[in-house]
Amino acid sequence: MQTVLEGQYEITRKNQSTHVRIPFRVPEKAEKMHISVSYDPKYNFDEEYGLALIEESMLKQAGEPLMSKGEMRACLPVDNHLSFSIDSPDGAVGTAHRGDNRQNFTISADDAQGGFYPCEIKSGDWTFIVSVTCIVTDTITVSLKIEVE
Amino acid sequence: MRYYRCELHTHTTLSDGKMTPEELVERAKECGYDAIALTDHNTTAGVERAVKAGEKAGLTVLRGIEWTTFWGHLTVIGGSSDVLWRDITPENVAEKIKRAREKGDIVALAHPRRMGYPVCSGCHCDYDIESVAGVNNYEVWSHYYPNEGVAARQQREQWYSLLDRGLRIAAVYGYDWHNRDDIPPSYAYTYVGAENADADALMRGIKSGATFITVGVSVDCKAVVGEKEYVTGSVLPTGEADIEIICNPIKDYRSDKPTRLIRAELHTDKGVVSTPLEFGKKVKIKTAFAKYCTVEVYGERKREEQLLAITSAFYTGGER
Repeated sequence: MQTVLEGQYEITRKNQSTHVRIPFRVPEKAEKMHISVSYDPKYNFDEEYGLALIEESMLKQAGEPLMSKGEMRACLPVDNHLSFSIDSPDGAVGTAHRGDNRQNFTISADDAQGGFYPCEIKSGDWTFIVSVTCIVTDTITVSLKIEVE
Repeated sequence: MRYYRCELHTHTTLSDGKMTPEELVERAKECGYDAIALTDHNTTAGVERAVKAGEKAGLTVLRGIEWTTFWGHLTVIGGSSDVLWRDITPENVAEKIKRAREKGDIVALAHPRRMGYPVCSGCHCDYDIESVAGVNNYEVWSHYYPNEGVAARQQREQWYSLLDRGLRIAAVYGYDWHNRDDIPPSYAYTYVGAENADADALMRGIKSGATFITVGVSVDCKAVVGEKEYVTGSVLPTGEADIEIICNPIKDYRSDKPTRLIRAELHTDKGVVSTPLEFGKKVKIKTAFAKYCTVEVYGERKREEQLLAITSAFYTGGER
């Protein structure tokens, strides 16, 4: 097993609704790729902030109350949501879109999980893409480790 | 032609759903669907598994994806599109919709008025409505309690505003099915008129606009002009038509069942006409419209008057 990428990446509010690209290189003769990704924090537990953010966004989007105070409270705590994609030298290998802030995937020519497609682990330039669907904290730290074998 | 029970917006564990593709197919079959479209968020990784499971179970599975963009969600059904969701921006979304349709896919605006950031980021349609007006379908109703609440009202109003402008966009419901839902909250069905329940026939039916959405009543309606009969989605030679409607309870509907019908309303670009309606009794209403005519069915459900069903439109005249 060879680590081809390991690092921590800071996402800030400026990254809301953007794709953050993290390039990495895969050596020759790799057959499997293991991706371990996590991000923290998942939640913003500040209820006052959460309620104010929901109310402000709701009125901006709908122009009228879509939810009662009780329904808004049921949406707490507000949470960060990132989704992850991978591009191989041949193009898109899929996207993992789910709420969990700790995810592990293995990709090979025969198998893949979590929204990715099986593909050959070709040598060359790859990209891990963090899509910032929702950020409700000042920063999010993404921890990423990619290994090949 | 007959109407088939379809769910055109579903998810599995390949994105954020709780059922595997096989479990979704099994559950859909148990729930009496004739077909589903698998529309996982930004991936088609589960589609072939679902199609295979569907073949085994006798359930048609339409290949699909939900473009889950930062500015709005669109379900794309058919499996022919080569658009990568990450390439979609507010500036090019119209072009991407056009591209998917040219490839033969069906594009629907999903839950456009649902709360977005920070509750369900991307769920609210932040795209300029003009840039997404090239869709085939509009989720007039979505998710749980589909015919109730502010978002449902705003979606219905926005859909009618598109029809008023001469656009031909069919009404669909999106369950946005993520969970097993053994005891389902209030939900609806999309029925699609087709020659049979094969994927190709259903795709043709959806594209033609032969759809209605309902919380528990079937809507058999046709427009009669002279000797000829038309289903919804058809372009009539004239807007002067007789609309025939007959509604019945859907016996295996699993949520609160409507207890009686009250009236049918024809909604047209010229206004609204209404007539009393009862289960199993055919009514005929004369209409005269210049662009479109939909049928809405009202009745009693959960001990209150509710809008129970909406059909896609009959059209006349030229398309915008």
